[in-house]
Amino acid sequence: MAVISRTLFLTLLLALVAFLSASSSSTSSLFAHAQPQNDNEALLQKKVARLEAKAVKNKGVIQLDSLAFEDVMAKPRNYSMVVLFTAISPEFNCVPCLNFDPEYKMVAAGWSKLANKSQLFFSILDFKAGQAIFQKFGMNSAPSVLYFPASSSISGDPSQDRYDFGKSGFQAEPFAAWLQARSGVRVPVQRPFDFMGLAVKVLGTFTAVFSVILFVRKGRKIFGSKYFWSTISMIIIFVMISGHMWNQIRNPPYSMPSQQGRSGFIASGFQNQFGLETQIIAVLYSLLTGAAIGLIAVVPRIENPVGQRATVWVCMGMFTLVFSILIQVFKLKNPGYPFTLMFR
Amino acid sequence: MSTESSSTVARVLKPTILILIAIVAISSRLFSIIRFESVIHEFDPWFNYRTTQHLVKNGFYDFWNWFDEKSWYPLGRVVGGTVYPGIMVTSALIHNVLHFFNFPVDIRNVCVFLAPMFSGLTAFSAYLLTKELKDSSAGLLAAAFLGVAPGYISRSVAGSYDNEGIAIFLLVFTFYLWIKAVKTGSAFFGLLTALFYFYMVSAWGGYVFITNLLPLHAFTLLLMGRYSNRLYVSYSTFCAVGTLLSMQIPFVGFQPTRTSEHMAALGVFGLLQLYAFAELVRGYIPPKQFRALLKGGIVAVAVIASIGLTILSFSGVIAPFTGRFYSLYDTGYAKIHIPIIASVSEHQPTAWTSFFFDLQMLIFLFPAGVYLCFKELKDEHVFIILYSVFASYFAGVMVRLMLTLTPVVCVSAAIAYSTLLDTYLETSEHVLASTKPAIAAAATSAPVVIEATTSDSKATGKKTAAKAAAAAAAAAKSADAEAKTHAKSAASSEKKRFPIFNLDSRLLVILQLTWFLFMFAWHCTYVTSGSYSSPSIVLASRQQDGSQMIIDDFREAYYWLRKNTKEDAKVMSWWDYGYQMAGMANVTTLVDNNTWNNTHIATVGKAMSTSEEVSYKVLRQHDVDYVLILFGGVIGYSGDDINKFLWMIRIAEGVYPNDVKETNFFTPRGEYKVDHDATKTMRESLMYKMSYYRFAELYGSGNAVDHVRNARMPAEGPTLSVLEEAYTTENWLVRIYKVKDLDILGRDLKDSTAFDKGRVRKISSLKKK
Amino acid sequence: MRASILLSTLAMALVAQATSLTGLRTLVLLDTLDDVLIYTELWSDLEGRHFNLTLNDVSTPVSLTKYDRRLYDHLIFLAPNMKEYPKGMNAKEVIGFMAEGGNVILAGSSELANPLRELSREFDVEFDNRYTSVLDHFNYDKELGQAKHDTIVVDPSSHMSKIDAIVPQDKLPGPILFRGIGHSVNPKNSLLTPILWAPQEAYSWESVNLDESADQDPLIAGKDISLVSVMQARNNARIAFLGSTDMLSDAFFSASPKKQGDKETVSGNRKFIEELTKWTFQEKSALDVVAVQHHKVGEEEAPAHYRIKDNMTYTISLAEYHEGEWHPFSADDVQLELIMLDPYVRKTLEQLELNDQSTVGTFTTTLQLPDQYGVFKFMVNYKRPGLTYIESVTTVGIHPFRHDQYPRFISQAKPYYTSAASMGVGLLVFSFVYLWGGLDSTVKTTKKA
Repeated sequence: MAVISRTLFLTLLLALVAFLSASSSSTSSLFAHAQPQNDNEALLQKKVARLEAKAVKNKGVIQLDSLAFEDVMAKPRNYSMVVLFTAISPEFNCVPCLNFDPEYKMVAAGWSKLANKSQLFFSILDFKAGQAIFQKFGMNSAPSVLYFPASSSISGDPSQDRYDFGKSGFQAEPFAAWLQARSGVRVPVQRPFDFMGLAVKVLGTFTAVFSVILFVRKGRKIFGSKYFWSTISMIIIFVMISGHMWNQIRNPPYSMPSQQGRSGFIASGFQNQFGLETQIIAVLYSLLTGAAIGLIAVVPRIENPVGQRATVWVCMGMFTLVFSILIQVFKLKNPGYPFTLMFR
Repeated sequence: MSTESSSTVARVLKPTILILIAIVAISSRLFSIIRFESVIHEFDPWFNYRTTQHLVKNGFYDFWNWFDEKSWYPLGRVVGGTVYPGIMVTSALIHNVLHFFNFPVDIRNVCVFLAPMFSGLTAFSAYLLTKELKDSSAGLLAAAFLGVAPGYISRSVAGSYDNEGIAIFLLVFTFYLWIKAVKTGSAFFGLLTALFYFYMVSAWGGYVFITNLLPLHAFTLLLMGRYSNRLYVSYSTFCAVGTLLSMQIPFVGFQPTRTSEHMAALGVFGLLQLYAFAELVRGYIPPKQFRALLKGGIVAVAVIASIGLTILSFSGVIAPFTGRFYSLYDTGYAKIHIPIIASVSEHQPTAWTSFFFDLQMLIFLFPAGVYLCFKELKDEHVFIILYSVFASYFAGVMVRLMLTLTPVVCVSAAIAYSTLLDTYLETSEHVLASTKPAIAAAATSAPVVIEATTSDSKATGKKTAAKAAAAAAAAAKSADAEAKTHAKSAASSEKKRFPIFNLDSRLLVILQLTWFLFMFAWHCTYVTSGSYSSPSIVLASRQQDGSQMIIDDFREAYYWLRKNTKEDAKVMSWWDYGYQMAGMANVTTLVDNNTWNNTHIATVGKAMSTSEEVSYKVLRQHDVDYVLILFGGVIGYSGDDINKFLWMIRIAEGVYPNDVKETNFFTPRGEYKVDHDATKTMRESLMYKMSYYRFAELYGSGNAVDHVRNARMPAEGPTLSVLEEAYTTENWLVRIYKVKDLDILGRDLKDSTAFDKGRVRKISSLKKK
Repeated sequence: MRASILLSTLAMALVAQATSLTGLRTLVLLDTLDDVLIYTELWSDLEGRHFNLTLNDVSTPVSLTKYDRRLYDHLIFLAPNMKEYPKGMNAKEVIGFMAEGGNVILAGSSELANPLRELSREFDVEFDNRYTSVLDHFNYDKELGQAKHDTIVVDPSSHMSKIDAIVPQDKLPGPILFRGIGHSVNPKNSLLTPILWAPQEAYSWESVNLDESADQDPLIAGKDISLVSVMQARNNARIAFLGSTDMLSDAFFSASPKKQGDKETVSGNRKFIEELTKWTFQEKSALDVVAVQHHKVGEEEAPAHYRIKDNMTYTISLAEYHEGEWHPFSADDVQLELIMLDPYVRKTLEQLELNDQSTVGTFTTTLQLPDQYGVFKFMVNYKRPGLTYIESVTTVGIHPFRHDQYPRFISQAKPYYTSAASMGVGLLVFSFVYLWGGLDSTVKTTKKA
């Protein structure tokens, strides 16, 4: 419980600090009894001003690198920092980083509209810019957001606390709520009105209406045709049995840079998979099914024996080949699996 | 339909094959018994077993109103009203019948062997179902597939005495009856469907799948313009009787009329009535007026229905979806809102590997089968298509729903497979009858009706002949509509078909397929024996010298509890072990696997995850005598309580946010550590202390290693003052602690323990100034 | 040893009826056996109450328990100077002895040595520093405390607790003389009750070299100084702490205390000690639950379980022990609680009329069970200072209605009954008409087609 009370106290302190420092210089000098040196005080003022300028320039977000980070974090600090450790650049292909980035900026922008914005600064530290810091904080996963209350040292002491993506997710609203719990100020999150979405909606409605009309007109042709429906249901089935739902819920990375030995698009572990992996599987399945259907439906339609034989051989060959590939892939996931078809 | 049925050989063969399949199905589920012994497996089965014992001992009336005082202490649990009694009643019935004929069979063995026995029946009903769809040869294949498919075996090995064991049989058989009913349009089969639906409702919560699938089927047929009196009769019978019957199960109660899960059935029922009425009206008034009337009617009904539904649902008469069900649709829902559901491993989504693991080659023959169903689009095929689409979705969302997918996969895979065989074995054109050109397909519905009438008159005598004739006439009228659609759909597929000319291609395909069958059989055996046959209460592990080591700590601990504690001793543990403790140790438990009271579970979670002082209050308030935990650190059993601890914390935090904070259990780096850099909160939590109490002593000084978290533990372990170690099993897998009484001198227990260790109080604060 | 034998034989001669509930074997620890002669009055009192005393000095080895059984029932420390326990005995042993149900009297003096201090510390009793004693320049006794003003005269009416269960006010013939060390009790410990405390003007100070001036305030003074206090442990073992061994001495028994300025009275010590020892050795104010009965109204024996909203009767019979036999216990504040996690019902039991041959006090009540099923505890938790703790728990399940115990036909549902019935009838009629009513269905349907 000690930790809680500590954080509470800190939040109160912050609120006070914010109020004082925001209202006027005289009051903030009153605040400065904490640090008697006056030049120190002035220096602090300068830093805050500089940061504000930066923030304003960049819609409330301050891009940091290692040096800038140290400088910003250096005591004295009458402001608190939110730092987003992320890896935007494509070679990491960190999907959640990309997902979270706009949300984060949104919150930052929302904050920068507030009166007492010098209480708290939003900053982004990209892995490329600040590897040193990443190591310093032992960041082994991105993105992660750390919150540094005012005038606390930056060593790994518990007064920094971390936003739990696992629990709260990548949306802006829970993040804002989390900030509110820390800073005691509620951060307005207004999502930019996306015309794209609207356009899609409008278009969707139009298409819907249109299709309804179409349905009324010559609907029986399209919606009555079983090929339409069969394709739809086939697609659904393939998507499902290739474990796409798992991706939907667990959202794993699409693929990985391939380490030595193992390919980058088949995840190791029985209960784990990549986005690409499932698509590969889906393709394999559809090939197999296609071969089967070919054997059933196409072959008997072919008139000349040669062509028929060829088709049979091709289909069956493909069937066997793909099946054995599939088994090989499965062996990658489950090394203990004893059976093989073609490849040893 | 098929060739075999003509030959007399087949008449002998078919039953033989079916019996053999049943034998295979049963015997392939006996690995666990051969390896270990005839025991009940896992967790839920133990509850079912206990209730079955109660039922056998005290009779049905007492079971129906059983208020269990030994579980969920002190709240108690109304067992009669919160179980699906199907499985217990079934095995009790079997037991009593056997005893009536003086077969003195122990109820335990009945329970252990129930699931395998029913798997035989399941295979048979798969045969029937597929027979309705294609022909008996496909049926036999389907039976064989479903008999050994791991996806089904996973829940029906000998000893896993769980609802699914019989539910899958009921599921398949209900579907068979439904299809039969739709085909023949006889109220009799509709009634049977309803009856077996009732059995299903009494057996498994998965009945909701049926309540939604059958209406969906009816509705789709309606949309396809395939309304027929057959559909009307069968569905109306099923829905009316089925709903009424299902409400007789106390646990279900009034849900069928209130919750949204069941609304579909009623809605479609109403719709059918309207449609039938419209059909009737159509017969009497000229088309023009009828069209106007129809439009008006549709609009009116739609408006009224929507208004009514909204009002009802807002006024709370119709409950919104229940959490478990809702988590099927919004898949992220459970993770955020209901940890108690998300924490269950069965509720995790399914990776593709599981699909392949459970269904090997069937999984890609399955779509081919669906495709074939599309080719000849009779009513029953529509059903199979819907079934496959939705089942595959649900199976994707939840691992345990693999179970509902397996039957349809087997069926349609069997269809595909047997069509292959037909195509490549058949010499005459005969086989191709199943995929005749359009005209025939169009005409199909009429003969069907005719045979319906005949069956009718057979069933109910001459009196109904007139009615049947009427039905025939009506259907004949609806037939032309069908005919149109068929003509359109089948027109394109009107091509000539040829037999397979070359022998080699025949041979190639046939041999390959046979080989695949072998592989499938091997796969199933491998999977069953390897993964699905261990009764998780007895663990088997291989030592480095390859010799097998049996780890029987659970039963050791439960036996100790049974023999060494008071009759009414209250034992606290995490809810996973509640059923086993009640069943094996016969002690009073606080929470168990029927997670009906989240608050109570959260309280236990709080007791586990807070410091000794806080949790001691909870323990005393609940009169807890012993605390039981699992600790795998010694032998590396990863499913132990420290690994489940995070869920306890989350669930507790949901209810007691001030006492428990998940973040305090993570290091500043956000890691979940138990060794030197474990957080203070972690080290002070009761669970941590109980797990690692005297753990360091087991090894030399300072090199105690937790083999699960493989973490090097501190040299001096935690100290306990409110608990004392009562029992620790051979491999330290289960640890039991006794809760101390208050100190007789009114010291707090920390001091008294210190005193017993020989430390006396220093000059205390009693002195003023 | 010899002394003890002598005395016990002498004791057999005496006749008295009062005996202890827990037993008579009493061990007395003395600094030296010479001290035996200081307390002869006490011995005779105790022997008179049939206790057989074993008088040991601290040098002789002794063991309190053997084979996990107590060898003694009571233990009296009259050895303030004891530097260390006799062989085979230590603080843990003593507390174990109490946990087994033994009773203890611990008397100190201003030379009280460490072992007993530490022991009493475990009971939240803190004696003042060594060589301090309770001084009072107003209420000292004329002749005994003339020199140092350290023998103080305590007036029971104002400075003794009003708990009659332990030492009844009126039994004391006069004030109580005290010479020794003061102690303070931890108010948080609810088991601990001060019996006798110092006058307002008293203070606790080193009694040696009193002449030199005090350089600091006394640690405890006035009413904070407890002179005698008792504890009844959770298992009802009793222990008494006395600040002075002299209280028990013949001198004090027979003294005639005389305060500054008022006339002589007769010392109340003898009576006080007698009552105190009676209480401590469980010769009085010991309660016992004789019987607990509960049953539905109109029935006799207890059911296996109740049903919600049942009317039931709960009866508990208590007896009190004094003068060597059990008497009916009477009180008006015995309460019954129905507890499932929290109390659902709390009700005061009323006592039945006592007639002359009734041996137990019977408390009973009739109540309606709550509309809440679960496993309930019927609990009588009666804890009063000085009396044995009564904590009687009866666990009974309260079940919901069985499915056939609900009313079968309810008036609100009449419309539904009628509708169902009419529906059935209608169906019968219809089918009858349809089948035999001669209206030609085929024609209709053909028309429809």
